Amino acid sequence: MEKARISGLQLFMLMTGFLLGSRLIINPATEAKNDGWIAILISGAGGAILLTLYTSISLLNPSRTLVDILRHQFGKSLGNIIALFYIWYFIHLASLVFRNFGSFLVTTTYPRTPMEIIIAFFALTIIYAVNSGIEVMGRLSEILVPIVPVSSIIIGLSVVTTHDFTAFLPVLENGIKPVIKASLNLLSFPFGEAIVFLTIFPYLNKKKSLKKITALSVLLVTGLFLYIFFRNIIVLESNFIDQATFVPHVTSVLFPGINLEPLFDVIMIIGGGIKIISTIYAAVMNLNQLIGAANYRKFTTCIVMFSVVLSIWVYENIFEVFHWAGNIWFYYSIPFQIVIPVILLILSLVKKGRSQNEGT
Amino acid sequence: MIDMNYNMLIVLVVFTVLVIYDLQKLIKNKDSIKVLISYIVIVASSLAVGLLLALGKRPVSPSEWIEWIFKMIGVVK
Repeated sequence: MEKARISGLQLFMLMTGFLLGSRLIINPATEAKNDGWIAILISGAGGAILLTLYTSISLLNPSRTLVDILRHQFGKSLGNIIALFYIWYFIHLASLVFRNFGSFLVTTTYPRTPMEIIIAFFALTIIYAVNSGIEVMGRLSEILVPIVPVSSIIIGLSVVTTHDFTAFLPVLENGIKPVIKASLNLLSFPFGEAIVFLTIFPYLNKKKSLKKITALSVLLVTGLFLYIFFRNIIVLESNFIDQATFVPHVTSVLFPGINLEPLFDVIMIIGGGIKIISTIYAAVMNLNQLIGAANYRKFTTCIVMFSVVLSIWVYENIFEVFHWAGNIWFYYSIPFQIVIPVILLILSLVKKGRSQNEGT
Repeated sequence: MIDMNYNMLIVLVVFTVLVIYDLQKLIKNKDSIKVLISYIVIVASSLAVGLLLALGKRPVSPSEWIEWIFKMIGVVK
């Protein structure tokens, strides 16, 4: 483990940037059409529960990273095997965000630049950022993440003249099923992905504020998702939202006279960047601990290289990415985001109870 | 006629240069065999898949395996 500490504000910004991530370029809860706001509220509540689960695990196992917790609770052999699966999951997640980033820029801003080159350039800066350490990552997010909500609000205010404030009505026109599906997808992508932070939580300087920081982060992100949803639907209406690939980008190009597109690129670079940095950092740190190497930086280049290749390999086109994210990702994530953390919490509580009994 | 993806090839060359630089440091610092083997396995698998992608011969991806498994057990239709 690094001998570094991050402040509460830095963790808050890092987590907010991570949760906003690439969701800002894909309309949140698209499947629910005009009932997306209900799906966002449900997933926000679910996200708060999931993050309480993760913070409770971290607080019950102070100063332990994910690998340490898994080894401590499941035993060395089983713990190592599960840790290996988590490392794979983190790399897969990073490659998904790399691909989202590449697909977005190739579709919107750089249509004549090959996606491989865009992803590779981005990956080189990611290597530098991850090797700089958790403190630099914290400071980076402290400076950059506030730009994301500000840019989103500027885009929203700019398009306010083009609107239909009744576009989200009638409520539950298509029934509750699409709302539940959309909320589950939004719960696993991005809220459940915050399992990555079990590697980062031990670096917080004041552990007492951990739950407050994560709750505030979920609240802000849910609020911003709601704002983005209402902004998109009052400008584009639900039928168009259903057809567009990168909905928020379409919203930004609607404003006559001003080109708001660069603001979206900035949002994507910051959100996507923070998310990939956190995920790669977690993968590299856990791999380093699993193998027992002295310095995690040794693995950064090879893990980023693997993620870049994986991002090109895993999906043939953008439609496959959306199909995977919308239909498979939730089921694939259940063991990593819900099942194993719940078992970890139960085992941690049992062990804590036992040690307290032995103490008395 | 092989339909080469030269962009992928360029990306692989850039990363290979970085990896060689890293490997030099690993050997110099006399890191454990475990570290070296893990490093080489990750890099070799990246290069193998990357080269196949560059040659236009995309192997079946992990996401397709996972989706196939989910379909087999009836989680998704």
